[in-house]
Amino acid sequence: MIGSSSTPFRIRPPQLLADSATESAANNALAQGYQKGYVRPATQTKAGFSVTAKDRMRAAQQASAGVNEGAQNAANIRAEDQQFNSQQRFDNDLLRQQAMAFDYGQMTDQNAANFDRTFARQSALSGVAQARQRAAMQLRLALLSKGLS
Amino acid sequence: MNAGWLKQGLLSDSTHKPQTGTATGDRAAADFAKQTQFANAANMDRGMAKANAQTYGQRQQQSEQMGQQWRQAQMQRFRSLSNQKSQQSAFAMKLLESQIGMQSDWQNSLIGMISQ
Repeated sequence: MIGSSSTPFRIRPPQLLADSATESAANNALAQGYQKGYVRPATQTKAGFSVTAKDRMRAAQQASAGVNEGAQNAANIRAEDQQFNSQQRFDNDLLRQQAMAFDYGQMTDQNAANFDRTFARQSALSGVAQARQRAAMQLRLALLSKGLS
Repeated sequence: MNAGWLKQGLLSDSTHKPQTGTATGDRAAADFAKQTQFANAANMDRGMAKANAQTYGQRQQQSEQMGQQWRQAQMQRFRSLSNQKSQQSAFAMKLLESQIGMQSDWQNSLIGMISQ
């Protein structure tokens, strides 16, 4: 029976994007950013000169920009996937509600059909019963009037 | 595919020397390429999972639509049969009613004839 707790409804839950897939992609994006920004602390430049404050500042900026980019990409991935899962859930809810409304309509149609049929049968039977009663009464009246009763 | 960043050797110093020498530069380039491959693989997995999930949802919707059409057709058939049945029973009862009426008339006439 529809609606019974022991029978699963025919609309199944939606398929969602697994957290592991999201986290794997997000972590890789983050890692790419870290990798892009990572500069090994050096005491000398390629040409053999000492590292200046300017070089250090440039390195720090590069590191910061890389980490920033990675974090942005990771956040985008997480947001996208959350939106996707949310949309999947919404679509599934909509489908489920629509299916339940349809079932309710069908149930009502069936009830109406059953009622109509029963009503028609009952009224026909009552017509017959009335006719029988009328005939019996007329017979009785006729017999009475002729003194035969 | 689980390509977490800890697995990529990012914490290892030896792979990150882009500023010194050709060999380390090559290693760094290879490392970048590997990281990109991991990232692409993870993204492909994600893309496929999304496509599969969407396809599943669409199929479920199509199957529900087809099921509803079928049920609607069945319901129409049921209603039409039900109406037919109602009409048949109404007709049969009318017939019976008229037979009873005729019988009653006949009885009355008979009584009239007998009493004369």
